[in-house]
Amino acid sequence: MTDKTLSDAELLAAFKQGDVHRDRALKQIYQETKLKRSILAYVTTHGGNIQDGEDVFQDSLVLFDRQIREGNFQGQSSWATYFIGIAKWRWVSNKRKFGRDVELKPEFYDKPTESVEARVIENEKRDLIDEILSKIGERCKTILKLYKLSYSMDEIASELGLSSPELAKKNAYECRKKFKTYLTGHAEYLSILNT
Amino acid sequence: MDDYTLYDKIESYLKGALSLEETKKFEQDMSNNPQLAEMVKMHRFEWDAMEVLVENDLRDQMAKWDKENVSPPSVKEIEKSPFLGNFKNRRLYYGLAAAASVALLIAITIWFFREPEKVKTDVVKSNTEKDNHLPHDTAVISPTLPKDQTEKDKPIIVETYKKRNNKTKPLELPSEMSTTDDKAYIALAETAYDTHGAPNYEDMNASRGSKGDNTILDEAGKDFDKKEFNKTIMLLRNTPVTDENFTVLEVLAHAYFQNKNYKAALPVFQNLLKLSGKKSHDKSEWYLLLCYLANYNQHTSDFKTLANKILDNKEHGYFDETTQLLKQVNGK
Repeated sequence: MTDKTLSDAELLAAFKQGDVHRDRALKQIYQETKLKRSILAYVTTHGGNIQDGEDVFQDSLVLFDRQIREGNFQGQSSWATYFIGIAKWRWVSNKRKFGRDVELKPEFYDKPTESVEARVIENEKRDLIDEILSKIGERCKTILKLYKLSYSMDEIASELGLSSPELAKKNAYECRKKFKTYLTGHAEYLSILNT
Repeated sequence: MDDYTLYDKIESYLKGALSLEETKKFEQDMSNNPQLAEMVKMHRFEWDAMEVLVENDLRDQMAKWDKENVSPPSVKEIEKSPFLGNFKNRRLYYGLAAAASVALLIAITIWFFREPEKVKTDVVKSNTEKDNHLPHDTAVISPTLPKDQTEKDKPIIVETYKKRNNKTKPLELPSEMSTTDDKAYIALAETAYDTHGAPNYEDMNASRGSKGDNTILDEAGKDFDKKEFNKTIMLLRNTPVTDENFTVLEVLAHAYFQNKNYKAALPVFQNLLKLSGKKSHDKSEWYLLLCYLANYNQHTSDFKTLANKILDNKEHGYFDETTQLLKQVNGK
């Protein structure tokens, strides 16, 4: 694979192709100095510090990746505009959450044409989920990750050296069951996730 | 409906893959069947868990890309800063930087290709020499040495060298250094910074000779003393200066450091040291050392080299502080 910069269209296509193509697209976005600078500038001129800006940039890449995978971005604006929209939304949400002194009007972050609002799994829940995931084993974690990244059962079987896609599907099902069983056995976890 | 079929149905519902009619029917089923509604909720949690796995993976990737990035944007930002553009001796500055890089490269090469036994002797000798002023548990060459290291033990750095030398390959730093948690080093650097007194603008400004128009610098200094570091950084990054480079750099470097942007602080502290006169030299070295420590995994050898340099000079203004700091690093 060459290191040539992907055009906007190629970049979005790479996300759809998944696997190493998605990795390459994500890396290219992450290393877009101009994009990062504009987000840092936005955050630092709207009540945040540079570290806040770095955090927002990384969170935005996570959310951008999810929005694309879930088909929530249809290309009505450029991906960069959309990305910046996510970052601004993320910063505004953070400020609202931590009660920083700011009037939060929607126009504050001049949204692009498509919705940038994503369902964020907040840190407390994420830590809890991480803890539960640590109980289901590395193999299960890999299967579930690949499943979420829309790998076919054929591909999952091949990645994990399983004899058939049916077996991969059965394994994925068992792993999810393992997660669910652990969760239902811990009412205190359920109550936090339900909030 | 068997388990698999129901599982697929819930999956399709959550993905939005059911037709409008099927969706309505499914939602009606949920409202009539709390058990089904509970199953869908659990299914959502499973989805969240899978999303967390993807997110963790991406965050790990980002950390990896950060390490790959040899010239962080902060360095470029500093190079593009207007005040650096106004250096009268900018060519000389770049020339010196290039010469220093070449000299460093040659020194490292010579060090790598010496005889292993000589290296061992040097390390032991170095530790013995340090015994004059350092406690036994302070190993200057390799901060990964065990606390109860004796002269009979082979230092890690020698073993690594020997192993690699058999394959006639150059020595690399011990691999375990690269996996050490950055946060612990940052905490040490911050503690040392605070313990030995964070500077204020008044002190920094006191050493300034010229009293020209420094409205913006003074403004930035006031923000600095109020701990409004973002404002300080914003002001100084865009402010052309005349003969006040040293103070501007000093305030900017400390603002970056106290704002916890250690990557950006590093090149500014490096420039500051180059511009330092006799009076401020030791202090500049000390702060640069703390900055290397805050960026330890990327600047392990820089940290060790500078620490050794400071400890080679008992008259150094920060000799005791550096000794103490190394003890803490070794004890990590």
